[in-house]
Amino acid sequence: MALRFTTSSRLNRVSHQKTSAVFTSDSFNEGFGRLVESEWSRGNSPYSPNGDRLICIENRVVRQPAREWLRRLFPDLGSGEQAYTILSVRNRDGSSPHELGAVPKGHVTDVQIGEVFEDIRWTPDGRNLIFLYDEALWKVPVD
Amino acid sequence: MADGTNALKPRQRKAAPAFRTLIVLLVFGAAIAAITTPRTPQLLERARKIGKAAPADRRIILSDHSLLLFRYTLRPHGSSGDDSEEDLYLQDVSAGTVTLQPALTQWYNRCWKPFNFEVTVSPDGKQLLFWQDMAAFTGGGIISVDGLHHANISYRGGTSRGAAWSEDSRHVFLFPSRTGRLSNGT
Repeated sequence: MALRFTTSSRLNRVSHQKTSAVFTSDSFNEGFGRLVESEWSRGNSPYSPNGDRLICIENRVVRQPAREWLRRLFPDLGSGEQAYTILSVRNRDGSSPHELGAVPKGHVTDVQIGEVFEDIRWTPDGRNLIFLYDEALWKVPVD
Repeated sequence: MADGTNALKPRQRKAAPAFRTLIVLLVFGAAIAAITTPRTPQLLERARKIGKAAPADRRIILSDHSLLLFRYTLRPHGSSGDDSEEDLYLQDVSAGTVTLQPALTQWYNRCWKPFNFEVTVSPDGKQLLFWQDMAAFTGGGIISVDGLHHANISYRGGTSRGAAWSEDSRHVFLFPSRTGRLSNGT
């Protein structure tokens, strides 16, 4: 089996987020099938060392209805939509997403196109992720 | 004094209900917001901070305690004068040390500086795979982090479909396009 990752950057005009896609294939002759949407443009592979799982980075907008209602009274309150960057791990076919957590990106009007994590990679045993965030190195277990 | 206080009382009486209503509305709104706002798990609550990353123009993770740092210098690169060389450092985040890698720096500035490459770290964090996939040049180079061992890989004919490390860090898989030809490097 041959696995390959690549990126296909595009601009999601609805949420103003940069997204990419992870592809996989069993055969070159069959072409590559899109698995999941994920923000990924780093050189390090999103696949775990044994190829069973992959890292997904998604930008998600969470609507806050109460905040939107309050904004009618207080226009300076800010947008009622909060943007997060979600780090998760999935099986290599895109199934069984397991969210490790999120970091806030601010309200939607403030979101800048770009990556939150400077770099991410697996530990050799595939049990942890290491990531660069906010000028520091972090380690998080995936299970 | 007493007259002045008495003169304000009717206004206070008028303002008090409106003020109370505003406070109730704010408390009610805050409670609704707290209840209806979806709880998103925070990544940093379950992650462990290993240490601070040293300043650099670009950083790549090598392992759970080391980083590769790219820092621009004032040394010019090439004849155009538009670009400058970079120094590559190894940072041990746990120990708090930053060490210049002279051999890696020299190889990088000589072989890869002009290219728009991708760099992939081997699973064991000890080797780097540089890969360039453009119409003008497709190929790569493998080098140990200390810069003492390296090899080039050339690819002739069109663009490739990328390269990746094997799990044991002993092999690199190359995905040639149908028309391309692969050759081992020097």
